Amino acid sequence: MDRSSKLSIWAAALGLATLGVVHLPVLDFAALASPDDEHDDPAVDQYMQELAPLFQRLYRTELHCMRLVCQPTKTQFEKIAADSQPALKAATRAFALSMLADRRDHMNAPSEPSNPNALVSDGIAKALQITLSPQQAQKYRTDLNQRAQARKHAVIVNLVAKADRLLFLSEEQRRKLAKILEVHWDESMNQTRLLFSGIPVFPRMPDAEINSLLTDVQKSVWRRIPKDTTFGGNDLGIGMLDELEIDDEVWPEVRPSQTAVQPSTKPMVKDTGISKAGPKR
Amino acid sequence: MKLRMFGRMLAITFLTVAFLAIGSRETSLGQPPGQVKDAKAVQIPQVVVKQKAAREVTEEQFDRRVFQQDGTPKAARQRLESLLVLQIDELERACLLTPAQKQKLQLSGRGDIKRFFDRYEDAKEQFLQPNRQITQEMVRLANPLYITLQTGLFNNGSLFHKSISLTLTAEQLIQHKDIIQKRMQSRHQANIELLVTSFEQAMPLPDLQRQKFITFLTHELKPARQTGSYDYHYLWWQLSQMPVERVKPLFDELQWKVLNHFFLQYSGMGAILRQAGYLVNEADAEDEKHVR
Repeated sequence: MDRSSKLSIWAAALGLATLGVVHLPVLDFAALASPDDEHDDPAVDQYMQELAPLFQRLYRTELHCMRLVCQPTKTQFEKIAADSQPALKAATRAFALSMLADRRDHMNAPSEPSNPNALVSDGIAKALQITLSPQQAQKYRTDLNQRAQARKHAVIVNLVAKADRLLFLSEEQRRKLAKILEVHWDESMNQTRLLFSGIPVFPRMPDAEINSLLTDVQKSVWRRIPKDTTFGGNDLGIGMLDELEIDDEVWPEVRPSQTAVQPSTKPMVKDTGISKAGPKR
Repeated sequence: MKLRMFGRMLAITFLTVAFLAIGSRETSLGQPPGQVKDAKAVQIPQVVVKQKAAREVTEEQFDRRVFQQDGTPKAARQRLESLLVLQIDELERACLLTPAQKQKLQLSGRGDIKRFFDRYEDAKEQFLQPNRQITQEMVRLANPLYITLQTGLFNNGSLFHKSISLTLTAEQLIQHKDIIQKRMQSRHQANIELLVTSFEQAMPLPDLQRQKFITFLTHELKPARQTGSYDYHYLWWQLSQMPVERVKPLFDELQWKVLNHFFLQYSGMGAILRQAGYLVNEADAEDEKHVR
């Protein structure tokens, strides 16, 4: 498999959306990957070149979110954007390094990065401390934590739903399973890519606790389901979003004349599910 | 850029990814190394070899197309039988089935499994007819079977489903309906959160806005008529079909642009959703847009 295919499958498999975690082992890569390091491996540079537009997109949308949360002035925003550029480069390099390590020795590669957003937002959070007030900086940190919590909740309820599809859990079992996952939460569970898949595979799960909930029939099925699965890929959303260009931020003083847009009463794209050409596959 | 091209192809749906992966395996597996060597030895023109290889879509490959999740018909059958046992087990726990009721349900569920494998055998027989258009026939014959497996054999319209209403007492049916409704609701809510989380990968939202979006989706999106592998896609499809003025006020311009990018990916899934039973007819599709 050539490098592009590997990259694409790695990143786009389940690029149906895909998500981000807040803190992951990939941060270890970031620590190792100083943007000032000389690249002794041209393959790293090549990966970085291909990843750069994707990380740039993440960076711009993250900055946009930061703007909504912290309400910086245009000058402050631009300074934060400039100050977080090294972190962006470090994040891209960290990703490139880990992908390369995975390509060269999949079995022994360090934990793969699956949350590029965390790398980017972490860099921005550090950069804005220089420019914004402590209150504003805290606001952003709080918002990042809330995002992490929301994501964790989404993962847990979807793991429960996935288990339910296979085991036909009772309402009480679902509730207890959610509680178990909350208590025994592990970042390895935070693989949202698995949740989009109909394939019955799971991350590492607290089986001893889960088995105590199940009936004998359910246990026999649960035992056969593959777990501790690293599905590969990451959350860059390549493919899904590769043609998406993120515009520059618009500020009041440079905003073009605001023409009133008449709201449409129709959906953006109509689809009745009827195709003259037959089912789309 | 190669990355973009591959990514674009691979990311529309996971389903597509899986199909492409299978396709790629077919290409390599359909032409064993020894065969190429032999072909060279007898100096068969390369074009002929390629044409021959392209048409060598075997029975095994047809099976892989249908049984993507399980790998083989045998594994699929085992999984389906386990699912049946689990569903009856659930009914037994909740509704205290009599042995006779249990037996009837088992028979009907096995009937669904048999009916599916009969369809599969018929389709495979058709596929293996000579002079077929391999690719088109693969899609035409294998995909409906694949979608049936993804959606589930014991849903609405199945013998098992009909048997439940014919076999259970009125009181048992109420209990059963309650179980199903709660299950559908919990899965629906999980999918809503997954939709929001996946959107946030591309476009992070401040906490308050996220909460509003989740509340909006909870109120506006209908749960699937049945649950299966397309529940998540069905929600995105519904959202993409909603009038702009209902959705747009929740977002600023940049967020709206990103959301529309998602809509482009999901808005064309109606045909698949119809085939999978999420949409019943055109009127239903219209309802999807206007009833809410």
